[in-house]
Amino acid sequence: MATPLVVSEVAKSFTMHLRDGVRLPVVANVSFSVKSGECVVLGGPSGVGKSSILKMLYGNYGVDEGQILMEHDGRLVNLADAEPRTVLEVRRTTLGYVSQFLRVVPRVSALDIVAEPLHARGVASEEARERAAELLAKLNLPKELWALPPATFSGGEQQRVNIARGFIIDHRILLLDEPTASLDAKNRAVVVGMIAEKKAQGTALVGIFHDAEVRDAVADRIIDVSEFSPRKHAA
Amino acid sequence: MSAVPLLKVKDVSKFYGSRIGCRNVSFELYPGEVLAVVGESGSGKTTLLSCLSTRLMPSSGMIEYHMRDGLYRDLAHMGEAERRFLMRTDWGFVHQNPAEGLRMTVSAGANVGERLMAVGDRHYGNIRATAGDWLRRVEIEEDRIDDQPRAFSGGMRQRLQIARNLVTAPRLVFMDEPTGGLDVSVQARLLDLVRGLVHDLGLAAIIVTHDLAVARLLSHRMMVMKDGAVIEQGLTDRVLDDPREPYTQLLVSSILQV
Amino acid sequence: MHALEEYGLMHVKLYEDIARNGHIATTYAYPVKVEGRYVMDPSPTPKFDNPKMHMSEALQLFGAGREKRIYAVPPYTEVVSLDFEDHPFEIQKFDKPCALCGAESVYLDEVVLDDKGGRMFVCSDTDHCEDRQAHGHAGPMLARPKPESQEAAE
Repeated sequence: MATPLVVSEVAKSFTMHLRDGVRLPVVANVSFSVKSGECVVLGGPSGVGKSSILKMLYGNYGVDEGQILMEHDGRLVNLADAEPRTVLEVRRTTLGYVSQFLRVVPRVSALDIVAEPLHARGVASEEARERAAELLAKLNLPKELWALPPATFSGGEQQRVNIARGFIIDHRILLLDEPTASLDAKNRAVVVGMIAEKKAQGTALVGIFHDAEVRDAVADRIIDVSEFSPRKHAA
Repeated sequence: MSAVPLLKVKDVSKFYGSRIGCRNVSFELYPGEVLAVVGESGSGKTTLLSCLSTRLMPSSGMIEYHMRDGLYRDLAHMGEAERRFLMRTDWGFVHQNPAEGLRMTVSAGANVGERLMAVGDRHYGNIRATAGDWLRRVEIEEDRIDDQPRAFSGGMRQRLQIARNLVTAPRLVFMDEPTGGLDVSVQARLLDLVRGLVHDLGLAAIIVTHDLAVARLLSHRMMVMKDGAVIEQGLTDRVLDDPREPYTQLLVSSILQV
Repeated sequence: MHALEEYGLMHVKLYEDIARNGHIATTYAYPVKVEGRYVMDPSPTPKFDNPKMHMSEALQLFGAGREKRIYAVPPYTEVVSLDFEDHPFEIQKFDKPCALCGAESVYLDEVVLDDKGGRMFVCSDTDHCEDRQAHGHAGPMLARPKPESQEAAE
């Protein structure tokens, strides 16, 4: 299938029970699709729901309405209503996500954090670590940091660990939430190169990039998320 | 991932007289899956754990376990001897207080070795070597093998209890507030250890905790309990990042951010 | 414990013995498995006599009043002492027969004769020993008119 991701009429709102049940509509009627080898960038002013869409695509935000269809293991999965174990299975092999911040696990070294997704797929520890080392080297993370848990790393260093972890597996679909936000120009260029490689391999990418230079370098298409504003939709 | 559930729980309720322990709890647990049951004290999570682990008989409902022979057995219809055998071979139970799960006046090596002997291991050298190996895996110096857990710190005792439970390669482990009585720094070490072991051994686990950070770190899926009922369940990061029920929102918003 | 077949602790005791002493140092109240199913502790019999319980033609009764426990082993029943493959059950070996009655394959007590290292081994079961002596059996130290040995024998 040349279109591994199809989003159809997705709507999301938050009901804040601690604030008298006030309902905050976030997005409505979100519909788009992403082809293999394509990088779609979610654009629009901040607060418009770009991150929320990405989180729904990954399954860590619930979906009120609509479908998120992904091709996984030869079948079509609707992530919007999939069982938790199906979501986990899709994440293990098909769907990757590079978040803005690294969730640090106590005591686990940077190298092992990066290697873990490969390991979870059954790749031997040594091989997974070698591949992790290649990626960290490519992202210019000083070698003396590899064996340390990233809790004390700088924002930019943590972000590079996060990127390496997200890129280590050849997912069919990869979600990127501001992966270059805290990187210097040199490492931004490395990430742009890595995204280009993923596209060449046929990965479907959806990303949020505030940096216009990076965005222009990677985007095949920019979707204006304000088109999905619930107010606009209601009107 | 295996296609059939290890545990099938259907409409399990437990009443203490007219008081509700837990009611109408249903879920399935698959091999390798870690389920966190969260809620405040009195929410019914411990009652549920007791019912699941056959320490309490549910008032109604059914719990079926997928035995190694490939058949499902209704736990309520198993004989006591058979249940106990299951408990000390294919299951593990990690208590909040390690003194409840350990023999405090027997050496660390024998604490780990006991389960091996219970399943018929009769080679002292092998039992001792396996026990030593497990002490190393839970980060206890091997030269402490002949010391009694009385001489161990709280964190070490808890790690020993984990080794004792995992040595027979169980398929399902119940944990009741496994980090409950420990200092924060010791908790982190234990969590990381449990996380690694669960992953490496492909264990299924049901972890009862009131600590959402523990649930976040260890579990794939979580159930939130209140007044004896499951009020919200789903993928752990979904429940924590996008809680829907008023009570879950309250719980999540009550976490101290560091 | 018996209904649930939970005997792990019995082996734990033997494990602890080896861990502490390098061998199973339990010499009495040594646990046995009866008919491949029930584990019991045949105290106060010394472990030396454990093998004699196996397929014994006698009905054997063991009682422990304080523990409110009684065991009955029917005649011709399989009784096997618990052990480990690499630390098999062994009974004490005595080089010589009983010094007083000459009995072999019985459990002997060590009796210290003086403070110069003199000692002898005599039947632990003194009734049995005197009975044998009365029937004319004699060990190497019985007839000798050595004063210290007679003292010790009395």
